Amino acid sequence: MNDQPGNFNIDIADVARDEGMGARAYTDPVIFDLEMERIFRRAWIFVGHESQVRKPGDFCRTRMGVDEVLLVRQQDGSLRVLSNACTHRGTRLCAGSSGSAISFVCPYHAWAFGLDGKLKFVPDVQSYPASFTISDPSLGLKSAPRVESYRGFVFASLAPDGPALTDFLGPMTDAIDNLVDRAPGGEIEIAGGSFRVRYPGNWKLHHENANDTVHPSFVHESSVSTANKSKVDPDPRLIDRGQTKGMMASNGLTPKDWNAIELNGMAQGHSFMGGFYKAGLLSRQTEDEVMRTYREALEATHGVQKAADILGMDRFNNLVWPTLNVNAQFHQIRVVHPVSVNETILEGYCFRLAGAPDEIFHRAVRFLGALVSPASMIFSDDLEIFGRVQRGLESGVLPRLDSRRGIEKDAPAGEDCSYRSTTSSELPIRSQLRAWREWMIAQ
Amino acid sequence: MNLQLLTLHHAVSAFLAYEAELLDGRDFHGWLDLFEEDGVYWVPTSRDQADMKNQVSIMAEDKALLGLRVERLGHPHAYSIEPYPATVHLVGNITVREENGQIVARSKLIVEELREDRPTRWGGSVTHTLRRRGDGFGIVLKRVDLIQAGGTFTPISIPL
Ligand code: FES
Ligand SMILES: [Fe+2]
Repeated sequence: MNDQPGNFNIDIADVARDEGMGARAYTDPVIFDLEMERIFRRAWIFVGHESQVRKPGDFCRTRMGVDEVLLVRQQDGSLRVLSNACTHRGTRLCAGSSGSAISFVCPYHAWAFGLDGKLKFVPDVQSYPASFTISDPSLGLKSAPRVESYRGFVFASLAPDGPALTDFLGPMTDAIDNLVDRAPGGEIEIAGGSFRVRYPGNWKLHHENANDTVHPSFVHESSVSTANKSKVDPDPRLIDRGQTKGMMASNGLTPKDWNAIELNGMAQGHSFMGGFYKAGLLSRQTEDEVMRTYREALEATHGVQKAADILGMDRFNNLVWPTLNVNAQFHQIRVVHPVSVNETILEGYCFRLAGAPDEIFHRAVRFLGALVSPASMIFSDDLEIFGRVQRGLESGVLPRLDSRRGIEKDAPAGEDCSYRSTTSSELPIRSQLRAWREWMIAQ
Repeated sequence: MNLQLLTLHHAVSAFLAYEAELLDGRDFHGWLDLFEEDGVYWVPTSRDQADMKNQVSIMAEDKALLGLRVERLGHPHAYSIEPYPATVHLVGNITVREENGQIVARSKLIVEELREDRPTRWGGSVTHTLRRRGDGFGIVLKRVDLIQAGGTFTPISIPL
């Protein structure tokens, strides 16, 4: 990059102190631009799942921060991530969200680009000077120098070098493994539609909230008490087998219960919650017929012990910093897309597991609706709070957010993660903050 | 249009206007009562969505689940609806036909919502499948196909 946007005399180390992030990290467009430069154009960003682009020519449109990109399956089966902006005058190439193409033709003056991003055709090319050659690589679509898939989860980095994907993911590969291993047929695919929801707040607020174990008792009180008071159950034959009510009630742990949850935070910025089953806070699903059929299929693939381990994985909200959340139990992921300093789009997807009964997929569809629909009785309250945080911070009254809860108990936890806390803690927020600081400072 | 159909059209139109009045007047329990015991409220994510099981829905609720939603609407700490927005449900372009003993009403819906200083507008086509009940109707299925379906949403915190 020619203009280093880093030189705004922002002392990043001072903005991101362990005890809390400076408010301007959520409100200052200059910091947002720097985040795009230093995090979103460098780190590994989740760009999609291989099942979205099965055949050569298949593409889907997504974002890496503010950059709109196309994930494209190449003729040789490899994957590329291309900028969705024409190199003639910058026009957005693909308006559709996904499809299949032999080339990408710009709607403005019909410059045509191959699946590999190379410029292939320019109408009226003879009117250009001799120095203009179609084969000039700089006329091709910008292509992410690094694209890698971990078991079908595709990540891209706009930097030519940096940590290897598996080093970047660290222990989060376990969460991806677990989701894939849940398929008796060994494969999962994104299916059943998706949700895109916009909230008027900074992108960091989503991940900071997801493993915050204090807020559910308050933010979700309306859905918890409604579910607990209700005496009627939905008709399980119809559309819902208790998922909605169950999810609403599941936020109703007491503060003491929430304290029993283990929080794990990594130097890479990732985090997850654990210990729900261990502490008896959640009982493993009582097995109905669908679950039995499914378990038997899984046992046929993996054997009894491994199948039990897979189904019993005691980890929730596996946050892959900066933008992915893997919820293996619900066959679900969420993806955070920053739009501007105070606007964010959140996407939710669910998976169909090969070899599992149809009803298992129906349940995943239902979980996605209960948790990520814009009309979710749970999530809409989180989104509302994000907006209120943003509004409060923009008033400028608070110079720094406070993330000190549990700070003295952040204990190194050996090789599987950097820190673990077995008490209510803002450790996940601090992990994100530390990773943010590291990427933002690095030149 | 024969007189019988005209009378039916008139009665259904009055019913839809009454439903809108209940929603705008925040009489959500009254609204819930309009649904038959086997009634379903459905806001799909795409216009051609055929079922609720294989594709996600914005809302897909039988009467028990809709009852939960209605209960929560009255909760003092449901933050996404605090303060509750002022709403106008405008129903128009109503067509009515009878099919296998059930009445199918198609209409267009525009909902204007104002919460604090923020206006939101929802629009779509609605299909009510109705059953005669006493001298009125009960809702067997209310399907709302939003023009926003499949797009990027802001939270929907009110019934449409
Ligand atoms: S802007 Fe794309 S061809 Fe002219
Ligand atoms: Fe929450």
